[in-house]
This record gives sequence, structure tokens and C-alpha cells, in this order.
Amino acid sequence: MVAELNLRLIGFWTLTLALGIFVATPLALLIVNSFRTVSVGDLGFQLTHLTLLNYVEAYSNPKTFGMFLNSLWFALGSMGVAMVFGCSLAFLCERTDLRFRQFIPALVMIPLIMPGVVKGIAWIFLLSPRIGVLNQPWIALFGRPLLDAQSIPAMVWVEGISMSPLTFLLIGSIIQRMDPALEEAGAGSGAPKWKVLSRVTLPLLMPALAGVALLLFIRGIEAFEIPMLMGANAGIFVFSTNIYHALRDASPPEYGLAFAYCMTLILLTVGALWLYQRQLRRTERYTVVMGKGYRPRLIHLGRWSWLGWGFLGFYGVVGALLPFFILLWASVLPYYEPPSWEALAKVSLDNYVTVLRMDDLWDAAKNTIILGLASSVGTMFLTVLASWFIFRTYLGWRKLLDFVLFLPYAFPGMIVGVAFMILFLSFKNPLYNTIWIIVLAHVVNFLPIGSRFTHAAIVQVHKELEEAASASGAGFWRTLRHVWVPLLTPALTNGTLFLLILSFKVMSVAALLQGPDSMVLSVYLWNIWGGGEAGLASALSVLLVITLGFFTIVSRSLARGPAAAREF
Amino acid sequence: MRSNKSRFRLFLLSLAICFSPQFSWAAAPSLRDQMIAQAKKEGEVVFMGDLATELKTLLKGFSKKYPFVQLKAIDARSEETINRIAAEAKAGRLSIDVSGMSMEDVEPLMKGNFLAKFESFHLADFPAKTQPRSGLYVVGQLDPIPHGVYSTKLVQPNEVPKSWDDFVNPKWKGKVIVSRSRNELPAKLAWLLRKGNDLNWDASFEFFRKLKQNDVVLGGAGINTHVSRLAAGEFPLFLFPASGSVLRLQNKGAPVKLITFPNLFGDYEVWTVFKDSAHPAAGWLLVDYLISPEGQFEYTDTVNAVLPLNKKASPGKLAQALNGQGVTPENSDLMEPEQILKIFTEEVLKKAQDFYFSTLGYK
Amino acid sequence: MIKVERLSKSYPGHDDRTVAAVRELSFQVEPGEFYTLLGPSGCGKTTTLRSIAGFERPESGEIRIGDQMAYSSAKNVNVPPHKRDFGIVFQSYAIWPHMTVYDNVAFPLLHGRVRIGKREARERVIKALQLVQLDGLADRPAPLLSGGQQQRVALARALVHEPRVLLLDEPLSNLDAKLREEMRLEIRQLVKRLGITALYVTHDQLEALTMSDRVAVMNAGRIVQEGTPVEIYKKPSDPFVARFIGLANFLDGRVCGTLSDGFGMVQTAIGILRCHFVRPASLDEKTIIMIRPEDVAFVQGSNEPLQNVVDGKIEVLVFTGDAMDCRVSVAGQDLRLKISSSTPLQPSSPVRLYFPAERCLAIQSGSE
Repeated sequence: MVAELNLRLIGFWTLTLALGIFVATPLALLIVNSFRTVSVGDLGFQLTHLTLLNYVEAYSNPKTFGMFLNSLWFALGSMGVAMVFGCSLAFLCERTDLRFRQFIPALVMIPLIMPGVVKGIAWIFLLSPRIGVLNQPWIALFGRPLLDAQSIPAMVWVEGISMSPLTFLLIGSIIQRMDPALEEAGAGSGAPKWKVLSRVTLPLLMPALAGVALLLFIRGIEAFEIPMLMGANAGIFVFSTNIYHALRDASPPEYGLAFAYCMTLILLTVGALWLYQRQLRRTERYTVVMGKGYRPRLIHLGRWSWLGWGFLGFYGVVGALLPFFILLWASVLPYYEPPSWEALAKVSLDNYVTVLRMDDLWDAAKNTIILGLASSVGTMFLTVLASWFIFRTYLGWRKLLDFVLFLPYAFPGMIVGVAFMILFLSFKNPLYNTIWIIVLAHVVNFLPIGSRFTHAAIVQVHKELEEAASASGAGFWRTLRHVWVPLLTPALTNGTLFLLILSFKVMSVAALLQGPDSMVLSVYLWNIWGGGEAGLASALSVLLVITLGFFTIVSRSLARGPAAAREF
Repeated sequence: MRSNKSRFRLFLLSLAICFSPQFSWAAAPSLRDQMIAQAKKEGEVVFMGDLATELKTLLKGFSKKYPFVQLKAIDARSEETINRIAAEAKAGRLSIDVSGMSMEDVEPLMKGNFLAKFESFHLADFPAKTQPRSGLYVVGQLDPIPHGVYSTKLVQPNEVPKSWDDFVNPKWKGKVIVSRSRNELPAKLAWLLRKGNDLNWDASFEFFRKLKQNDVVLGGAGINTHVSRLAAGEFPLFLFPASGSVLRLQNKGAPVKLITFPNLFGDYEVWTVFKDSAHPAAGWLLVDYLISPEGQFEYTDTVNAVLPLNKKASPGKLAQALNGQGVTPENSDLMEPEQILKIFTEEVLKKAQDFYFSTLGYK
Repeated sequence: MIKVERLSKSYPGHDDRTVAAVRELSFQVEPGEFYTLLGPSGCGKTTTLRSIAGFERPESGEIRIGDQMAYSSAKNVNVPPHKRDFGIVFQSYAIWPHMTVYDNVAFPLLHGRVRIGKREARERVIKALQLVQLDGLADRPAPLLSGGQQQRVALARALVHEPRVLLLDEPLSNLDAKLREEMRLEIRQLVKRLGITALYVTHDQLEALTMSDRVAVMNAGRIVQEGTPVEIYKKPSDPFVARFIGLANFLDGRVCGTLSDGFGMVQTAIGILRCHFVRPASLDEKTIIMIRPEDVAFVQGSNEPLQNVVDGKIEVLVFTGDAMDCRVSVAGQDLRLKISSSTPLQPSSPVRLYFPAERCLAIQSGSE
């Protein structure tokens, strides 16, 4: 008995310390080195060359203010676009009687199968100032382009659409959990529909909506792929691309400066996260959990259904069809040209043949699969253990573990990449230059997401189910095998598949950690695009999207349970 | 000078080998043989640089000649290469054996003392003033910078610029794009327009100012992307492209052509091997191949649109395509490596960069 | 069979104060006995049950199940739940949703303390299912069962490995009224037929009264009164018990005459009543008189008793189906009566009430 308790304690502290080290190291490295004059090859924890110059340089530079404003506008703008799409679509899906609205979730998720790099490439084709497919008719009509791809408004638009699926999911579940009786009470008091909406529904939803907006803001501030593809080339920098620029384009790399910027970014995100947590608590006071299967009264659209359909159609076109088709078009041309009859004559599948013949493509694919499987399974394993400790034991320090799990949310993937590189260069190890260092970095990056899945899963397994097994005489391992594993498997599968798809798309971490044997598909695609091979890049993009789409469909059919539908 | 000295040294070396009591004449191992024997044990060579992808996929001759050496290539830009080499050398675990870069990137490596001396018979076949005296690196190819590229759809043959002034003609107002990464060009243009042996900053600055007045479009760093966009019809003119990307698009039938009136500023492509690298012999074999006539032919045939400097090498397809558009060693300004380093110092390049960014209006 | 000695457990409550859930609780359940812990929510009955099962760890005390010392703070013993011999039916049934009925019931046999082979298990599982009349549903997946069916599965699972003790934690509270009534009887009959010891926890006094051999009424972590259902009902030792079990009328009073043969005179607000005393009481002692609504009678006709008769007025009459709930005001006091529904009565009519002396119980504090 005493031994059992100690085993639990040992397990808990091992897990907490191991995770804590991997999560805390990036942060510690950042803080320490932001106060040092760092030179090439001299990175690490040594407390030499301490200075405040990095911060001075970072904040006295007039460009910093411009970058700060860019980041702010970008984050706020994309949050706004995502909220508009997400709220409207969630509203249409949950509260109206639009026909076929059960298909809305599937439609909304489609942009998810396009990695950020792919979206960036597609929208550059669509919004190139002179030859962009969307700009040409506008120029013919108004003499100026609708939007320049390399501008903040265009970036906001693309990032906003990128974030719409997530927004839709979050707001949808908020709307689902609202007690319709609250609104019916309003109607019963004689108030017309719109008054109920504005005086009852919206105020009730406001705290939750504010929480969602905060989350989106954080993602906007951290965003890397879209600003990199669409803004960096035109000198429009945000935090993440500025940091990348300092580390990659400057020669020698400006580590100190990059870290100084990182600190600001982290302070911003941590601040926003803290606000979010507070907001979450307020939300819980307002949200009344519904009773058994009570469905709210749906708003009858009637003539307005056309508006609903139109909006859906618009989203479908700009979110999925347009980007995909422009990529298809670019992928069958030897060099990019806007669509025209002459261009049609040059259509061929050569790019696909070339891409599929490239040896290192298959290496990259293999690496990406290893990366995906290892990081998703690894993350889920760690988070399910952690969730168990947090929800099923009464150990005093479990809040610390929860905090450690949540903290990586504040780190841009890129920073994790840098920190891991330095960490693993500072002592002898077999991991450097291999895919495994990227796996570790991804795991750290994914901990918060994984724990979302596992927290929900563990909480769902009612304590008494475990106790009934105990009462039937089954010990720890038998209970684990026969009760926990079967009950957790659906949620764990969902989480693993989600993370698998995510690790295919994420580029920021791998960009700095690649080695000769560890190229991954997202970086590979980016390199091809950077090399000016628009046709090859488009062909690879199309192939990637089809693959990811296939994976997603497979996951959805394997997914079980209400939580699954929400995550997918 | 260099070649004479090396010729003499090699002669002495061969004498020593011939008359050395340990070896019989017939079985005298040459430097290459020694390297081959060693490389067989090493089994692989690691190359890092931005030519990695090309090298890996297209260096068939090397693989055929030395099948026991596996070529591993890491795609990276020179800044990254330098950082990585410095970091690893400091940790005592240098995994990179060979790199390829331009002249300006060689300096920090020289200063950091990372480079190993390279010697080979082939160096005798290069033009006298193209190899460095220190022998710490090898100048392999000449990469002349074309003055520009134009879209044949948007520019009539009689409108093609034939002088610097043509580029700033008011008819191209707002239609000429430049790349951010070519920021050392004010210095290079100052050399091209030189008076005697001094940089002509005034003439160079004047050109760029006129560009600005003509609403030049500021493009980002990606030269390849700009050429692609030009081919797609986004711009008629692009200043200072890279020959390679233009040739690649021309091969696919894109309506683009180079602008190359004399003189062209020629960048050198340089190969380096490193001290205490993991596979020194394999690295030697690679560089030796790259400067051999067959290597230079294969290189300029399939890898890169540059001109071979080994006089015994015949130009490959890509080099020939360049020759056909007026890019030849004769049209280019060949300089001694040391001279390059002496003239294009850090201050000079910084001055050029500052001017480029501030005058053109880059943030 | 179950012996609990000086069991104590507290929890951290709100505002950082610890709440004592169970205080120095002691009781004993004889082999084959059906023993119920009855009390309002928060009285500690569930905590006690879970401590006996091993799901909660008490702070001090001793728990014995059969021959096994399951827990002892003094000797530092705490046997984990899976090594104690009991079956348990949870309030939520805790049927594993990913298994069929058969798998649920077979689990203790296949994975419990004493494991047997699949073929042997089959026989015993079928027998257990027959006990609860579910033998036709063996292959039904658990989520497709109704509440009542789930409860029977839980019962079968708890009994299949023939434990000596069966613990039941409010198993009927999630069922509708009709089903509850059926199951009350069934569970008791089943337990008696198998001859096992049952410890039942509930807040429903009807369940406690109909099913148990003995009942322990709990409040605030302590046992207030322990006894047979009849004893608890008819002779509550505490107003709390009296109020908790059944309905009761209470009158404050003072002993105003000496006791003889267990009866004495008590001065109350509605007059002097002759009341029944279980224990001796002294003159002038304060006491509370309890009389159940069904024990108050109307004086009909001229046959009037000599003592314990009062006048009152009917205030409210409520028809409750099988009876009539009647509120009568007597000398300013509100009394509640339960009478047959066919009694001809009108509100606001005067009545005469008779309180039989044996039914006027003086509540005196029982043992603590």
C-alpha cells in the first residue's frame, strides 16, 4: 500500500520533471541568451557576455515599431475575419433551419487540409497585383487591383480563412451548450425575436466569444507561414518572420536580437493567455449546461435562406475551391501563366512526373511520416498519463503539471526549434541532425493540444467504472487493460490522427532543425517554391492536399463520439 | 604565378615519390590514389550549400567514377553553412566536408581558420589570375551577373535595353523590378563603371537614383520568384537576375531573354574543404572532380548555368546557352580573388547595401 | 460480518475549513443481516460505505470484513479494494459501456481475485443473470439497456463471484417510482435467498423501512439511532429521527406529573396530555411529544374517551388518493392528520380529536 502510493508519486514527478525540462529549456535559453552578446557557435547557458544591448537595439530601432504595428493589425484583422466567418457559419449550422445544414461542418473543415505554405502559394497566384486571377477582372473594371497579395489586408484575409474552421468549432460548441430556456423566457416575456437576440442571446454569449477572440488573437500574433510566404518578400514583417529573418537572413545571425523579440512575443502571448483563462472562468458562470437532449428553437429562414446559401457558397469558393483550382492550374503548366486559351495548349502532367521522380521527395515523405507518427503517438502517450495524474489522483502538485502542459502554447514553433538546436549542440548526443530532434520539438509544441483531447477523454471515464473493476477484484493492470484502454481508445485515436495531420502541415519547427537526413515535406515544398519552381511547387501542393484530404476522411470515419465530431 | 609555383611543387613531389626508397616506380601511389584508398574507408562525403539539391541529383559522373563514395547534400544558404560549420567545429564535431559558395562568403571561413588547403593537378589548367595564392579555396566557375531579363511578350525587340540609361527610360516607369538580395550591386556597378582602378561611386549612385525616380518596384529576396513572375507577365523587366533561373524557364518555353551588354560583372563560384572534417579524402575527391574537365563539363551541362574556368573543359549545355546570349568570359570582368577581397571589403559592401536600401526605399 | 470501529474521515471544504464527514462511527452488521444506513445528503453514509469498500481512505478507525482486517489506522493496514471480498452496486450502476451484458457480469470471474476459466464462468454468469431475470439479454451491448436493466446487470455483476458482503449505494434513486417499488422487494428477497450480508445506503426512509433488518439513522457523521424499522418508527429517540422517518406532529411540553408504568402527564400548548415514556423522566423536565398523523383519531358520537381529547378546527383538506391529509388547528398549533378518504368532513368545521396515550411518545435523547 505504501509502495503503491510511492510508485504513483515517483511516476508523477518523473513525468512532471521530464516534461518540465523539455518545456522550460526553450524558455530558459531564451531568457538567458537575450541578455548576452551571442556570437556564432557561442550559444548556451553560460552566463558570459551579459548585456542589455539586445533589448536596447530591438526597441530603439524605428523598424521595431512598424513590425509591432504590422503584427497587431495582422492579428486583429485575421481574428476579425475568422470571427465573422466562424460565427456566421456556426449560427447557420446550429440555430437556423437551413436545409442540409448537417453538411456545414464538413464544408467548413475543408481549408484545414491545406497547409499554410500551400494556402500562401495559392493566394499569391490569385492576388498577384497584375496577373492575379482575382485582380485581372478588377483591373479591367476599376483600373486597380482588388488586393495585392503582398499586403497586410491580403495576409489578413488568408489567415482569417485559415482560422475559420477552429472558430467554427469553438463557437459551435458554445452555442450548443446554451440553454434555450433562457431565450424562451425572453420570448415568453413578449419580446420580439431580434430583441431576444440582442438582449438575451448575445450578452450571454459575449464572455465565451471574447474568450475565442483572445485565442484567435494569440494565433494571429504567432503566425508564421502566411506572413512568411506573403509578406516577408515585400518587407512586411511580423514578429515571427522578423525573428526568422534575424536568424536566417542576417549574416552572422542576430541571435540576441531575435531572442529579444521572442521575449516580447512571449510576454504578449502569455498576457493574452492569462486574460483568456480569466475569461474562461467568467464564461463558466454564464453557460448553463443543458438538460437531456433539449434542442433549441430554430430560426426559420424562409426567403433569407438564399442569403445563407450564398454565404456558404462564398466561403466554399474562397476557402477551398479557388485556391485548389488555381493550384491545379499552376501545376499543369511548365511556367506560371494566368489562365488563357493559349496557356491551355501548354497543359501537361510533366510537373507531376518530375516531382514524383525526385528522390529526395520520397525521403522527405518518409521522414514526415516518421515525424507524424512519432510525435502524435508520443504526445498522446505523455498527455494521457498527465491527464490521469491530474484528474485521477489527489497529488498536491498536479496543478504544476497542468501548467507545464499548457505553457508551450505561448511559444511560436520556431523558437522551440532554435532552442532545441542549441540545446542538442551543447552536449554529445546521437539525436542532432536526425528526425528525432524534430520529433521532440513537435511533442513539446503539441502538448497543449494533446492534453485537450486527453483531459476530455479521462474526465468522461466516470470514476465508478474504475471502482467497479476494483470491486470485481481486478488490480491496476487488469483495470487498465480492460476498462481504461477500451474506453480511451476512441478519444486517443482522434487525438493521434489530429496531431498526425497537424505535424504534416507545421513548418516553423522543422525549418530550423532540418539535417541531411531529416527533410520534411512542408519545408521541402517551401524550398521548391523559394527556388522559383512555381509549377513543381503547385504539383506537390496538390498532391499534399489530396493526401491530407484522404487522411482526414479516413480519420472522420474512424472517429467516434461527440467529442470527435467537434474536433474534426 | 601560382600555377608556376604549384607546377614546381608537384614536380618535386613526383620526384620524391619516384626516388623514394619505399615505393617502386610502377606502383607509385599518386595523391589521387591515396585519397581514393582513404575515401573508400570513409564511404561518404557531406556537402552543404545552396547547390546541394542540384549536386545530389545530377552529379552522375562523380558517382560513376567513385561509386564507393556516397554523396550527402544539405541544402542551405551560405550564412547557415557558415554558422553550422562554426558551431560544429567549435564542438569538435565537424560533419561538413565540402561546400560551394561565392567569394564574399569565403572570407569569414578564412578568418575563422576553418579552411583546409587544397591542391590538385587540375589547378594548372585554370587562367592564371583566377586562383587564390593561399590555396585555401578553389575558384571553379564564373557566374556572370546578367544585367537584366525581359519578357518577350511585353518588350519589343527594339525596346530591349542596350545600355544602363535604357533601363531608366521613362517608358519603363513603375515596370522594372529589382531584388532585395542584390544589395551589393552598387559596389559592383561602381567597379564596372570604374575610372582606372577605383570604384566609381558617383556613376553607380546616379543610376540607382534614377531608378528610384522611375518608380522601380521593390521586390523581395527571391530572385527565382521574380523571374517566374516576369515570365507570367507581371513585369516586363527585371534587373540583375540569376542566369540559372532564366535558363530554366527558357527551357520550358517561357517568353524570357537575358540582357547582357558588356561588361558583365563576374562572380566566382568557389569550392572549399575544411580542416578536421569527417571525410577529408572523400571531400578532396569531390572537389578534384568538380574542377576536372569532365566535372566542369557535367557541372555546366546539368547543374548550374555558369561558365567553366578550366581551360581544358568544354562548356556544357547550360554554359552554351549562356554563351549564346552574350554571356562569355570575354564579356566579363575577371578579377583576381585577392583583388576582389581587397576591393570589396566589408565597408564597401556595407556602403553599397546602405545606399541600395535607403535610396531605393527598402525598409 | 462487517465491523466498523471509531471510523473518522474529514474533507477539505470550501473556505479552507475541513468538514468532518464521519466522526468516530461504530457499528456492526451480523452475517446475513440487511443493514441500512439512512440519512440526508451529507450525513456521511456514502463516505462510510466507500470506506468499507476501500475507495476512500479514512483518517482513523478500524474496518473488518469477515475475517479480514481491511483497514486499521493503529496497525497501519489498508487493504486495496480489489483484495477485499465484497460486491458493490453503484448509484450510477457503472456498467461498462464498451462491453455486453455477459462481459460485464463475467468480468469478476475472469479478471477478479479468484479467476476461473471461460467455460466455468459461462455457467455462473448465466445463473447470475437468471437471478436478476436478464438471462435473455446476455449478448446485448450495455449502452442499449434501460435504467432498470442496467441496475439488474450491476446487481448480477456484484453477486456473480459470490461475495460474502454486498454493498449498495442508493441503487434505486435513478429509477421511476413503480420500478423502485418492485426492486425494493426483489433486492431484499434476492439477498435473503443467497444468505449474504447486505449494507444498504439510502436517503429514502421508505426503502429503509421496507427492506432492512436493522436501520442506522445518521446525521452529521454520527449514528443518531440504531434499531429495527419498527423501533425506529415507533420509538424514535430524537426529534431528528422522528422527523426523518415518516411524518410527525411535535409538541413542546413539560412533565407535570410523576410517571407510573411508563406513562406520565405532560403540559403542552394544547392541554395536558397523558404520554408514553420509554425511559424515566423527572418532574418539570422539558420534553417533546410526538404523535404520528395516522394515530390521531376523531371523536365520533358519544363514546368519548376520558383523557387526551381536544377541540380544533379543520383548516385544510387534501385528497391524496389512498387517504386524506388533514390540517387541524388546535389552540393555535397546527396539527397534521392522516385519515381515510371516505370520512365526511368539511373545511372550517369544528372537530374533536383524540390522542391515544400509547401513541403520544415523549422523545428523549437516545444514546449518542
